[in-house]
Amino acid sequence: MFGKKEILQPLIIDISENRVSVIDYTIDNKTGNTIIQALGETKLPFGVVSTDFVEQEDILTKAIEEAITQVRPDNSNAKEQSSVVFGVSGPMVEVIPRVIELQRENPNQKIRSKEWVNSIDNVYDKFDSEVYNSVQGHNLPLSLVQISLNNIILDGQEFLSPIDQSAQQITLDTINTYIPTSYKQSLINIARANDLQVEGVYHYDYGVGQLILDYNTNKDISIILIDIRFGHTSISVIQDQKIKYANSFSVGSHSFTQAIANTFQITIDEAETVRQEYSMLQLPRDMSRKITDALESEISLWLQGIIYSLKSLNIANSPTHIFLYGEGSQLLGVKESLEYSTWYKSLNLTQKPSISVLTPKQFAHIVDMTSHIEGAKFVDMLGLVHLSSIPLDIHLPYRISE
Amino acid sequence: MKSHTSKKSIILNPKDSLADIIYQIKTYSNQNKSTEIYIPTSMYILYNSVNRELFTNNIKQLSNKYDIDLYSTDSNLINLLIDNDVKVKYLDNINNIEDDSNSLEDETYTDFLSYKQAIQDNPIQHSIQSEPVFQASANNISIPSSKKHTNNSSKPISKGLLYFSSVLGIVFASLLSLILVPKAEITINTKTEELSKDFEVTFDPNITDISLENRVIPSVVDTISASVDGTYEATGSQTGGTRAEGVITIVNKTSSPQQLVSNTRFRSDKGKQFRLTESVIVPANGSIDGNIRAEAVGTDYNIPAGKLTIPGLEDTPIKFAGIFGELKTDLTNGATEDGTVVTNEDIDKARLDLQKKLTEVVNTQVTEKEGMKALAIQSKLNDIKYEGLPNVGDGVRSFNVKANSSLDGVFYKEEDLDQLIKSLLETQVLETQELGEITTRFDRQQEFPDRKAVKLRVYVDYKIQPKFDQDKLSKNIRLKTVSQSKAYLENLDNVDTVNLKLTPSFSPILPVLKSRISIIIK
Repeated sequence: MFGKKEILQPLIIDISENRVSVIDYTIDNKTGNTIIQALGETKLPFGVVSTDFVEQEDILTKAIEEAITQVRPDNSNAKEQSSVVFGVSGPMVEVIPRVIELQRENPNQKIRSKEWVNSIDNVYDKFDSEVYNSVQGHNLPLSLVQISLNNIILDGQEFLSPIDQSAQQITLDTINTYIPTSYKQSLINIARANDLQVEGVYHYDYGVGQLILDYNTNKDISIILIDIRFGHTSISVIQDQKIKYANSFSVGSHSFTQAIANTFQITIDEAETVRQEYSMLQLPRDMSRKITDALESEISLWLQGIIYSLKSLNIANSPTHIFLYGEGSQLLGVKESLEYSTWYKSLNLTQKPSISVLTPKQFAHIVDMTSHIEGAKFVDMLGLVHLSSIPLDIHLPYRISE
Repeated sequence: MKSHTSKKSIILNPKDSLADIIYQIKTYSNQNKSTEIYIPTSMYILYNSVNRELFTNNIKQLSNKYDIDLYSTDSNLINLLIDNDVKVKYLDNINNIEDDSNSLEDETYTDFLSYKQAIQDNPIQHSIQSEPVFQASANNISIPSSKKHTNNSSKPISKGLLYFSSVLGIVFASLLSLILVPKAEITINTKTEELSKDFEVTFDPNITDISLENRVIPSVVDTISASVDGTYEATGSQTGGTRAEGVITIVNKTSSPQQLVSNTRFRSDKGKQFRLTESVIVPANGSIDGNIRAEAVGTDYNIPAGKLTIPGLEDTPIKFAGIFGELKTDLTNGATEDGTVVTNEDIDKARLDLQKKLTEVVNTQVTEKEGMKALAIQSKLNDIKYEGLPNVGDGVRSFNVKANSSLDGVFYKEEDLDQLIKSLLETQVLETQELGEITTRFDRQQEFPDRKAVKLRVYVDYKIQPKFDQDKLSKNIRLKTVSQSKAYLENLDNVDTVNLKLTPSFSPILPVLKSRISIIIK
């Protein structure tokens, strides 16, 4: 608003097995554009974080502190009033649809923002107090971190937003995200150690899905999103203006790097460099051939994972497009494996979707002032940036209870 | 040093990625043929259904080639893996298992060092020069011993005539042996051009004749059937009985629907606990049927019909009272260890074994198909039909099962492809040249094409070598000395080197007979 002091936006923190990234952004009042002001990154040694568990919380806390210092140096007093948004995804994260009904005391009164936020708070309390047993069948305790709205039904009729509507019964069709309780507790501890308040923990797929949905004028889009992170691949589908989650699986960019390291008997760091040079066609032909052979079984395993994962979704209509992103998406051979094989036939899709790699440059309203937000690995963070910057009365208020 | 054929044990590391786990198992199975894999309790990665499917599919593929046994201390995970059609045995703990995964690399290295040392200690034995021992015996040419025949004629012969005849005979035999006995083996190494080319070739099952112009050769879709059988023991006593299970009606008397995830506990009035086998949403003021399974084996879990509570709802008294299970019939199928019964594992074992046998038989038939080569083979056997498969819980000591199945394959005649390749290459060959060795390879055919024509890129490595009239060469060098023959051959166009071996080595000239001169052109 005009004349108002600029609202400090939450820090966006992306924790991966090999690095921690922090983004500080603002919203331009005139244009509404999102301006990325700073990027901080710290490399993590192996074994500090696994896909869904924090193994060494103290080291991770220090790494995050260092990354935050890069974006908001100690002399900045803004740090004291900061909040933070984390992202999650992975094979242990469970996303479950739920339905809940609310009866209003005054059905003739219009629903105002305050009532809506209170209702949602109550819904959150209700879900959060439930004992949740893993649908995967293990005994590891899981905790709720996110509730996102799939449908709002007022007296049997679907609405995009309930604000200023009146109804007696509100039926909420929600998608709840659960993560291992120990991981959730680690996020809380890390935030606390850095004097940060947790504003939300979002599923990365939800963030990117919402980013695409909110800024896409074509409402009939049908897209498969494939996020190849360090230790796993996460898949979701945008159809009918909704985000559908598929099962993720534990093959990610590290599997590809490890295969190269195994073949050439080199370190992971060296293999990482080789992997990048290979993808940029900078290697001699003979060596490239050896890498292609080394990656064949890993990419084949990955492709099989994509098929199994999408099979669990029962996609109704053939998606027209696939967006690949995440740090493994730019590896030579990954996109090609989808382009030049007939994987889609085993899913009974009528046509092969077109495939492209999603990069930050494709989101024109997000302006990078750092010149470092390049490459598909930052797309997940942009999804979190987007979620944390949109009005709360359109989407559920996300929160993490401490 | 341990033998590579002994059983190796791997304990999976919960912190390893799925790709690492599969890579590790593949590597070990490949090296050891017989591998025991131990899955610890905290292997949460395998609770994820996609991970589990990837894992079990790889295990199944490897099990077709190698002997792989899976063990776990996690009974929940075992049940899930069994659902994926993989046999896993239960263990109380894996603390005493020795993980060979750390030692294998060193062991290989030690093997290599020992081998290297052995070569240094005894260079002759390990030298390739020791091999001609076999060559010598193979090429040994027995020279017939000239026997002196005595003539027992009663007519006396004069001594002078006898000496003259003998000398004449020896001279004649020597001349004859010089003409007939020597054998020349000549290898001419030519200046060969080694070339590569690739062509797109269509394999079409809908045609019968080869079309050289269109680069199309006929293929045949054929079904290869096989039937195998086997007798298997029932091992029910090893698993210690059966868990009781049955259908329960879950009643919800509250005004909100309630989701119950799989594994939700149900408790009988006597405290026996059962688990829901799959997730259900119980509608508000309604009911839904679900399956429950006892937490342990035994007849103690054979409970009468009645009400079961849900302990997970105890913290919310309204729900606890309003949502419960109703067992409408007695549970009777729980059993303790008592005799031998057929278990799921027995059936799985029989199925897997028969599947393995069928795959072996079918694969043998594929490779032995006369005059034909496989272009693509279905990755999976067609539906396997079993005869005599018992039910779980059947009280038998052993059972015999027959299985039959088939596999579709697309085949082509090797000679057709040779003909096509040669026709394509021969345009490049001059009159004074000829095609030498030709090797072909394909792009991998990933999908089974069924009755569709398949276009494949065929990569051809071939040699073009100068053409020689071997008959003329033999004619020109017979009765010449070794050095004369070599000089003649080496001076021919496009000849690089010539090796000439004359037997016996003391023979001064090459044989007179062309048939005793063998010329190999490389």
